[in-house]
Amino acid sequence: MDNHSHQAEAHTINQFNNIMNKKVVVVFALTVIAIIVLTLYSFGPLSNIRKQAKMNPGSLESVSSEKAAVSNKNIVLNVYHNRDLKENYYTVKLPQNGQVLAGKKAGGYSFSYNGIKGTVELMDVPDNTTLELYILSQEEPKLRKIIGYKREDYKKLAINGNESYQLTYASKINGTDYKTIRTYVVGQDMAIVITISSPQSDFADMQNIASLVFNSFRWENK
Amino acid sequence: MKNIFFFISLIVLGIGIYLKFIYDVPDSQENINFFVSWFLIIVSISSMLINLFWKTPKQKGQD
Repeated sequence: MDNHSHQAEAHTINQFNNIMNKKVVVVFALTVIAIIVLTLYSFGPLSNIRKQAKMNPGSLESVSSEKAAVSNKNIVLNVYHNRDLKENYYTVKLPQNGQVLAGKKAGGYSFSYNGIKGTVELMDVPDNTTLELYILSQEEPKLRKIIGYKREDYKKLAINGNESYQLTYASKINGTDYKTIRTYVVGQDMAIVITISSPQSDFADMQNIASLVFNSFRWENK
Repeated sequence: MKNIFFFISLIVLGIGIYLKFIYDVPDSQENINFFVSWFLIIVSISSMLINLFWKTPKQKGQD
């Protein structure tokens, strides 16, 4: 009788251990699955879904348009309100007769207009530096790797009351001389970078359109 | 031993949460930060659960 109760107790302990081990196996299996999904979501084919999730489709729809005169030509600028990333909402005007697309990352645009190409991008500046220091120590060294890079101008500006920096440089793309104006505007959270480039022959037109785009930029959360 | 294991998991969870929600991630490191922070959070939570469910089988002759 005593032997019988010992056997029953051992059986119960075994059953208990089995249940515990099953739970451990289930947790382990779920962890492995979660890590596989995380890897796919971070670096694999699912990473695009994560990036697109941040983009607000409304950011690509222009809310109104305005006429402006550039070297005796009238051009129409579309007004875009970018609301992709909280704390970084902004308004910018881009040429209507060109093509405006979402940027590579959330909070950006890429556009082209009569051979002039441009991008508007949000840029994270680490908390332990200033935008100017970041441009000179991190951004320009990257730009120097572009074929034929030559800095032509660098100045501090104020765009609609925002501290801004403008870098103008020459480069070569497929043997053609290009000029690029890159403007950085300080923001509360991130900075905005508006890059506009064209062949050197179209520089005068590009400068006029670029100044319209730059001066149209406003942060919305200010 | 189980307590030490649980404590280490808790520290790892803290590091994961710090990287995910507090650390200011540079643009170029967003992907790696996303992966590392979630990896630490998942691994630490699962190790805490395993720690909770783990039972060392009793040896024969042990009371």
